[in-house]
Amino acid sequence: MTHTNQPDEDFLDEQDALFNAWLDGELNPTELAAFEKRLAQDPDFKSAHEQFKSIMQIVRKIPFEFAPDDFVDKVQGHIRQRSRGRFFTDNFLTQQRMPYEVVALVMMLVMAAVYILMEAPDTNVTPVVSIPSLNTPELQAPPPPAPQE
Amino acid sequence: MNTRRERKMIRGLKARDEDAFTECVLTYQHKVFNICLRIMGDREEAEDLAQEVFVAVFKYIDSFRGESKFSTWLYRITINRAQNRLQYLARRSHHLHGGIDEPEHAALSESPLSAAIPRPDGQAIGNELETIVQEGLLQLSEDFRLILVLRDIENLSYKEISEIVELNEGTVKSRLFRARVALKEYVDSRYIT
Repeated sequence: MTHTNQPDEDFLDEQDALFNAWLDGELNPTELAAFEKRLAQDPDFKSAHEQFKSIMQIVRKIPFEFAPDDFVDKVQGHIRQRSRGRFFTDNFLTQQRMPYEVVALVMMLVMAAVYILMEAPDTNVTPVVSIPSLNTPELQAPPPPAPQE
Repeated sequence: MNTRRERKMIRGLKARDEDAFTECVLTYQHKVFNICLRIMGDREEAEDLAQEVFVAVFKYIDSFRGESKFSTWLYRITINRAQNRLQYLARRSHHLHGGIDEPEHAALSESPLSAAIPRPDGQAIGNELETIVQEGLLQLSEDFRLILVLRDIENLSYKEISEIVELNEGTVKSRLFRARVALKEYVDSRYIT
């Protein structure tokens, strides 16, 4: 074999070499026509080809598998561990999460404190507007009109 | 060769920038994991291996000189690490089991992980061939399996594969053809219609 881009086919029988060339789309039009003619005429060749084709179809349809969701965190954890904290150190504000129960309790305490402060009587405050009394003349109902004769 | 975005990411990686590293992992994690899984045949092993790959990227990024695509360099690390891991598992298996039998066919070997593969017995007939093919993949010797995975599963070109495994394209083709033939022979021996 002189050309380095060509496979060394000494080990392959002619049929296997043909199947591989067919699969990689490397048969020229003349070779492809001869290949198809042989498929039509030789049942053993056709059967072997069908089997090769179905195997390669299965290989090529093996489903793509995704990395786990926490993959990035795990890699960063490895680097943090191996660099002894020199890289990817934990940031307290972003890494540490307070439990929801604690957050809820703090919120309740804050709201209770605000409520108590709002409800507390403040004796030093004088009302800006005086509350009108019902006995003031302006608010009294006018006398009924005199009946017309 | 690398896009502007990749060049920026590589500069960030060399500066040990966390955001650049996160971007690198997010971009390539699934591809690397999938290659690892198809080579190792076991999810847990694949995940450990993929993590090792990205730790190695972080560690050795300064040695990347931009002469090839970043993805080629990354896949080369993946393949090298996978080969090391397979050899380690094979040695461990050899020690544990005494290493008595040599494989009959040069292209087929007893995978250290093959014990974990479910046998086709009891599988539905429609899935039987699929099971045997997947089992056969793990029975291929590592050199053949790596190339078959890169070409027929990951759909990489011969040129990319030859850069990743650092072999000329002719050798890559030869190994691939032999791998396909070995796989076909394995299936022939197991799948009786």
